[in-house]
Amino acid sequence: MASSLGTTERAHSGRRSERFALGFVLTVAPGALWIILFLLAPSILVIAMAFLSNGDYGSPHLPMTLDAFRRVLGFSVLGWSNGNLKTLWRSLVQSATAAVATILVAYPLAFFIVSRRSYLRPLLLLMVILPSWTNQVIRTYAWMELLAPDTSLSHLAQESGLIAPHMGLFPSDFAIFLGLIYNYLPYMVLPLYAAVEKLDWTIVEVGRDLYASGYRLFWHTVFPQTLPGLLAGIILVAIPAFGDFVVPQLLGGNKFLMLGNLIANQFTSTPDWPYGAALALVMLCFTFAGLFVFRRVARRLGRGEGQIL
Amino acid sequence: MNAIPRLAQAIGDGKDFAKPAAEIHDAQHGKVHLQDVSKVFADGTVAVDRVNLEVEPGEFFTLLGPSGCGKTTLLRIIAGFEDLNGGAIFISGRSMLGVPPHARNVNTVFQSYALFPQLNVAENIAFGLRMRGVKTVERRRRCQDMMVSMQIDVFAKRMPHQLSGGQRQRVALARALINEPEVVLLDEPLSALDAKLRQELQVELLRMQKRLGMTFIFVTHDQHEALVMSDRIAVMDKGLVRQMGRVDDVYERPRDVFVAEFLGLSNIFRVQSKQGADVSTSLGMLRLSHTPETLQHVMVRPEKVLLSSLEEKGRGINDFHGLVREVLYMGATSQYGLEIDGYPLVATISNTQNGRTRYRVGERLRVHIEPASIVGMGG
Repeated sequence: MASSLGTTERAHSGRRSERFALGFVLTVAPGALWIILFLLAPSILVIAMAFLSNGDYGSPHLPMTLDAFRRVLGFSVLGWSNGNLKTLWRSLVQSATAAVATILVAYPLAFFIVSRRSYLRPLLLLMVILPSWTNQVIRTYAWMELLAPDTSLSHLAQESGLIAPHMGLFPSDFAIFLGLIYNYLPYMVLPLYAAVEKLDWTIVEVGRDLYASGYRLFWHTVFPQTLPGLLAGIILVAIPAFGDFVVPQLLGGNKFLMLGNLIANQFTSTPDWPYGAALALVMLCFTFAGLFVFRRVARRLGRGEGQIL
Repeated sequence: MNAIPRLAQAIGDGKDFAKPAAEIHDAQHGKVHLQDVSKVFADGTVAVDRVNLEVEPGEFFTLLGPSGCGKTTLLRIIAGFEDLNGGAIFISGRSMLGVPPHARNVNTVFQSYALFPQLNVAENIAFGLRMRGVKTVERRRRCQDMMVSMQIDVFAKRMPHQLSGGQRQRVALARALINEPEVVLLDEPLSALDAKLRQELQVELLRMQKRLGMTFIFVTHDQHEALVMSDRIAVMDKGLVRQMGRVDDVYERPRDVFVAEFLGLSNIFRVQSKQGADVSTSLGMLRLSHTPETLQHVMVRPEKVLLSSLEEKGRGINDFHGLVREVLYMGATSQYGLEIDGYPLVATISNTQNGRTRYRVGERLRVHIEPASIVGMGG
């Protein structure tokens, strides 16, 4: 009796756990498959490729070597050059300035939109987002037209002595800067708008009640509340801007390369896949390092809300 | 040990976080004067309609009224969060027109507490001192004293989201009081708490106010809270101050039906005709000891209605025969729903009096109302 009862119980629980296992596989499999196919596999490919030698047409070949990384550091048959360091530095500076500039534009914009009547707000948001629905290349070409030599903007810059005569505002670092802000502004405005919209204004009133005004009022009452949106915006802007290659390609005119162009070139015009893969790895490392530092800062700033990132 | 004596002791021990009233020489210090103050919102709603009031230094003044009566708007006007559409406002004798909130020596305790979520308890409390540039050492000392006197020093390093409602309330209060403002404004600060904690904090708040000698302006829709705490109250409705005065005066002698009904239970009868001190009402002829010029209603509080058995001798005037329709036992008192000639009358009788004070449903009894207990009112 006792043993047969035990068997039935075991059989029941066995069937239950089988059903559970099936459910588990069905629910987890799509996501896991996606991650394996489109994240892990390509990552492993890129990592492996970075350690291979360069073949005749830029395709990777055995034997394994660290040659690609030596060239990332600037060593080549012609000796050491600081070209890659300069490119890395330009990418870091451009993505940082793009993030700062979009913050400076997005904060007032978010407050402006939130302060409008409720039926106007989605419309105004749409106007911010709408340009990003057209192709980035086309929009960047439009900036080339606007900033080219002998355009009214360039004339204006010449008259004010900002640029030499007969030089356009494009190609230049400044043109890249403008292009990046223009491209990534919506990704700062949207999370910041969401944060400003649910701002607890009583907290702001408490700040005013307790003698804070001006920038101190902003810093102690508005800034901490909008911090999660701000952080999301910075990540959405700074990381893609760091790796952007369309904007520097078109608005930099090959003179002001960023890391993205350098990598893209290794797979297109002058093929060298292992070198390109090594550059991509370096970029990934910098992105993760940046995120790590960012997370530490965010935790310190937003300690009341638990974890922000 | 009971919480309240412990608190009283703690308040008595907190020595130097605020000046005693006697040290303040300026007789105007802490006085609030509103002159014909009006506020119309953008949508045309008249939130505050030509309100005049004077709050004396060191007074516990309550703005009482139903939601939407303009009491919170009035408080926000004093704090400086709302502009005036008309009138003038003086705090400690100085005009506050055009003075922004951060430049007013007035602090507010908000209904939602609104503690800064990114700052811990001590940092929250010290915020005002920090904004005023008080040096770190003094700021720490005053903050510590304040937390000790409010019994929240053990929470000093906690974040607001780790506190209970009552603890948050104390922090919000401490954050206002530490600045030693001329006036403390409180916007329904106890309404989010449960009944027992609310009663405790009422007593605590009141004792603290008396000890500090600061002017408190308190907004509430809770008549019990208003009765317990206030020196004077203003009963508001639809942006108007319906009646203002000492809390017992307003309770005993309401000016109109609204005030009478909002503040406590009342029996109100329409006046049909008047002959000297005798008025004719639905209840029958009633004699009043005092009749005002405009007399439209008479009111008697349930606890002023005297009940006795039919065998006892009547007093000749204001005597009725009643029937007990309903008895609500309320512990210390019982509330009787009576019927007199088909008209309802509510009487509240103490259950601890000597002699027979308990009546049963269906019992007939003698009802007497003293002429002095009847209040003649306007609309």
